[in-house]
Amino acid sequence: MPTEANTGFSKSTGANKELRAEELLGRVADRDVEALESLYDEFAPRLMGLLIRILSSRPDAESALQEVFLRLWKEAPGIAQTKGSVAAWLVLMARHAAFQRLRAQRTVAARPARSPLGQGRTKEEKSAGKPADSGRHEHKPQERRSAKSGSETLSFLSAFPQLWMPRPVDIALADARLGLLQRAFNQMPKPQYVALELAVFDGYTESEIAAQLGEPLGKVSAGLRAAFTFLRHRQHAVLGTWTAHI
Amino acid sequence: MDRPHLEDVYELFVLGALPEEDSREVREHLAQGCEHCLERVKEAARTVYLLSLTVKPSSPGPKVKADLLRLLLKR
Repeated sequence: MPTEANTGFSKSTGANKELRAEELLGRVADRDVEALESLYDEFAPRLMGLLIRILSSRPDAESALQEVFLRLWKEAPGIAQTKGSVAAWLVLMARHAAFQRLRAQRTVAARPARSPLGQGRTKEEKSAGKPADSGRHEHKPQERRSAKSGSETLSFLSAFPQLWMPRPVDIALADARLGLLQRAFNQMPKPQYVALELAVFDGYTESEIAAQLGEPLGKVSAGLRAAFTFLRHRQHAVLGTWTAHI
Repeated sequence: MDRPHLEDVYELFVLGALPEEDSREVREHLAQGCEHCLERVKEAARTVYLLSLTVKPSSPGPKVKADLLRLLLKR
């Protein structure tokens, strides 16, 4: 996992930045383009890093980044009313924009090639009546249902930010102690971390992760829950006291 | 999921990684306004936020911002 130095986030100024962001959001809600520009300058590099990590394409990431800020402009009045953290909203909506694109790409990749002559298929596939792209990209019905679930959840979060947006003060506190938190996260057992990365950066559901790792769904599911329990405990330790030993 | 609160699923819910049946149950539970779970989902969102920031930042090209501002001024 990347280190504190990679985050581009100053521990000493993190809280101030987060609190200033809320003031900027209020101005964006009042149609202040300069305020949106300031929010862009502040958050775009971090969002861009995340989007590139998810989409593996700079042009796609830039397009998704633009989509997120256009959406912020459009929805700022409603977001401001929630009194939640605009930093958290931007990150979660960047994830939403990225995974919508990623899922669309995967759907296209999973679709059988339209070739009346069956070009590109092996003799075995043709004789078995298999579609052209029925190998590692094939999505089983259960996986398609899982992908649908992920998409519906992200749409739900997108539609009801008041239900999940953390308070600015909580994000400011977490930002201020980001280095400590990342050191704690780095202590996670490796197998759990691998599954976690597939959920966080590849947008896979539990069943898709199980398929990717070739492991039983129950084992993957339990491992992911254990990983988040680990992270919760570490966060409570770091955010609960400055003297926490991690 | 027959627990009164859905303690250990919220991070997976925010990530969109739960099976549809469990995800629907969470959405319905949150829509009922369970204060305990609304706090938990906020905590989960903070965890996802922090995990998402573990990647190295990267500056977008200058054209992205210029195009964005041009689009905003058109509206």
